Formats: sequence, structure tokens, C-alpha cells
Amino acid sequence: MFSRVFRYYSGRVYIKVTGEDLERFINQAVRDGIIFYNGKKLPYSFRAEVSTQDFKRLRKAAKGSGIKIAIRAKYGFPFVALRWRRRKGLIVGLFLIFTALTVLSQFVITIDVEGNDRVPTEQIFAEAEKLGLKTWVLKNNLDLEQISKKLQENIPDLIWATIDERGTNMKIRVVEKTLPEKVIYQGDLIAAKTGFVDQVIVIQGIPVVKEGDTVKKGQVLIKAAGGMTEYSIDVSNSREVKQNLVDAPAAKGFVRGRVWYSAEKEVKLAEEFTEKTGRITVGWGIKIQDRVIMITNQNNPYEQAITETKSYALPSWRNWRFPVELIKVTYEETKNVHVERTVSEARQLAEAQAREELRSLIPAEAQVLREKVRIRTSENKVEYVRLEVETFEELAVYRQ
Amino acid sequence: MFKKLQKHAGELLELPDDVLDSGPRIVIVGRNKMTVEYFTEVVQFTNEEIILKTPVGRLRILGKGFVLSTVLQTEIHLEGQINGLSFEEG
Repeated sequence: MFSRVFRYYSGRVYIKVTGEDLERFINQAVRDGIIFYNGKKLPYSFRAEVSTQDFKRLRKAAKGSGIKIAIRAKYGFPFVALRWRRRKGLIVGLFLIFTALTVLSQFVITIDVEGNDRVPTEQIFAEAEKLGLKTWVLKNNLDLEQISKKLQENIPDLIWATIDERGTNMKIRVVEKTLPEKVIYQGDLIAAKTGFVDQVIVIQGIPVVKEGDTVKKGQVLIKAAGGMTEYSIDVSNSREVKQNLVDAPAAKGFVRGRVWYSAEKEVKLAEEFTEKTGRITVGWGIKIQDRVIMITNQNNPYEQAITETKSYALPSWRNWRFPVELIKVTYEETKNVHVERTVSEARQLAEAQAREELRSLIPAEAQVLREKVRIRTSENKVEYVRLEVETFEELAVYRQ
Repeated sequence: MFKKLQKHAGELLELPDDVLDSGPRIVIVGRNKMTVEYFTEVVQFTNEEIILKTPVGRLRILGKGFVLSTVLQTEIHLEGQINGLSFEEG
């Protein structure tokens, strides 16, 4: 091993010696301190290896005896070094590229803003620049956490800001404050739900329904008071009469009433379903164009599983995408579960499910007047439960 | 006279022979590796026969496919099938 390293380091020249009286030449060379390696005699020549330093001295031993020395091959570091010395420009170029990359990668070259809608990007840029984040500054000098905190404080419309460093690119991600939704007072008040009117209070407009009426969803409850038509006459040209319909002032008022909600649920006494066991295996692979090569967990390790595939690609550049993608396959084990329930359990479950369904339908401010759970007959080992809820709530809404 | 004295002194001190003798030291490992130390020069070298000049006469090695793995000033390492070894005057 060591002698091989030495052999490579000092370099070898493979020579072919031809001529008369080769033995005399060998003796002469050996006496001069030259070492031959792997000497072989061929019918009319002598082949051997000598080190690079020895090769230069061979000429002396060969002098005046009609011996010819030819180089067959060269091996070792000195020759490689020589080749590289000839390609000095290439090495300098490589070095320059590496230096340039190292130096340039220390700077911020591009800044992006993401997530802003109302706040103009220029404002965020300007604010970031005040805090020291601008192009061509050294990345190491930036305290990104501090800058994002300050950025968030300085722009009042932002509720959250963070800066991601992606090489030479800085990505400012922001979240704007959500403004409260504006209620537009316009036009008629209509029924939001089908219900029974209990109270009508009109502030402005003409009521169309009265207490005791049953209204359908979308029906007009309070009509905006009289639309007006405005005529404008141009004095110089009386033929042209402009006719503008001026919007009537919006209807205002309250219409409260009772609304019924119902949900029907059925629960089987015996049921089969699949359930996740919680065991997850992740397999990684590489996707090269259309071919997928899985590196870990080639196959689904479970009998039953939900498979989810996610791929990670390098950022694409213009139309070009890096053809190799990383793929992560998640196998989530599932199992079949068989459940048996008693009648009361099934009814409770059905009631709970029905309640859950209604919860999203009934507005929070509604007043629940009555609740009724109706158990319908169980057929074929299935329990049918109907939940009825009566509420008192505001019916009138403006047309969207 | 001096040689004789040298020999006697050596025997007295129980030194190994190769230190005292001026002849070659030949080491053969197996049948295909051989080292000859203290030779004077190569007289003949072919694939089947190597003749080396030593202070005690010519050393003739017969065999097949000889390769001189290393040739140093007083030392020669050779590989190949060794068939015979003999000393000749001269």
C-alpha cells in the first residue's frame, strides 16, 4: 500500500531498451544508482520501469553503446501535475468561479414579498431597506428575527411578518390584518330562512309581511321605500331627457320569528368500517421524469393502507424543471373494525350526530325554544333518530 | 593473512557467516521468488536464464518467465519459476 503511494507520487516511466549488449547497459545503470523495476527480457529488447528522476540519468549509461531507449508509457503524479500545469487557465477559471460563488453567496441578491394584498410591495421594500435589508448587503450582518419583528411593528397593516433565507434570496412573508366585514345597507330585507314571523319592527321601508305569517326563504319582508325616477332636462337641448333611477333608501327593521331545524340520523346496530391504526411508514424515492425508483420501503408494508405520495422538486427556472424529484410515500395502516351496539347506545350516537349536524346550521345568537328527539322505529337493526329544534331568531337579511 | 584473522575473530565472536563472507547471500522463497545480494554484475539476462557475476564465481539461475522485480546496485529481486541454480568458475 505504502510503496504504491510512493510509486504514484514519484512517478514511473515505462521504458523499452533496444540495442546490443543490454547486460552491459543494465550494469552501468545499476552502478549509477538507477533502480529497475519489473525488468523483463524480450527477444530483442529489455522492458522495465524506472522512476522519473532515474529516467533523466539513464542517458549517461546508454551513451556510446548503441543503446536506444524509448518511452512506452508514463504513470504517476508528476505527469498528472504537468498536464494540469499546461491547463493553468482552466484551474484559474475554476478557482475564480469558486471564489465568486463563495463571495456572492454571502450577499443578499434578491428580495421577494409574499402574502401582501393591500399593503403595496414597494412599501414593504422601503420599510425593509430602512431596517437594513436591501440587495447587496452581507447576509451575516442581518438579524432576520429582529428585522421581521420591526417590520411587523412599523407597518400597522401587518399582523405577522417573517423573513426566510433561501441562499441569496430573501423572502418576506407577511400576513395582513383582516378588516371587519362591512354590512351593506342596500335594498330590501328578505327572509334568510323559512319560518314563522313573530315580530315585525319597521324602521324604514314598507313591511310586506305581518305577525303570524309563514315566510319562505328569499321572500321579501320589508321593501325599500319607493324607488324614485329622476329626470334631468338639458335646457339647451330639451329633446334629450335623461332618466335616472335613483336607488331607494335601504329598508331597515327587524323581523323575528321561529325557525325549525331538523336532522335525521341512522345508526346501525352492527357496523363494519375501516379505521387508521396509527402506524405510519414513510418511503423515500427518486422520480426521474416518469420513472420512480424507491430507495427505502419499496413496497407497502401493510395489508391495508392509505397511500399518500408527495413530491419535492427543486425550484423550476423559467420553463425548465430539474428532471429529478424526491418522492415521499406515506403508508398509513388501516384495519377493518366491527362494532356491535345496543339499542340505547345506537340512539345516543344518532342523537349526538344529529346535534353535531345542526350546530353548524343554527346561528349562535339564536334562542332555542324547544328541542325534540324523535325515535323512529328501528328496522332491520337500524335505529332512526330525528332531532327537531325550534329557535327564535332574526330572519331579515339584506340581499347579497 | 588478514582474511584468516577475520575468520578466526568471527568464529570467536559467533557472528553469522554472511557478515564475514564476501560471497553472495541468496534467499529463495518458495519456487518463484528469489533475492540475490552482493552480486557484482549481470552477465546475461533472458527469460530462461540469468547469469550473475559474484565474488565467488558465476551464479547461473535456470527457470522460466523471469522478471526482475527490482534491480538495485548490489541486490536483485527476481520472480519466475526457478528450476536450477549452479555456480561456475569465472
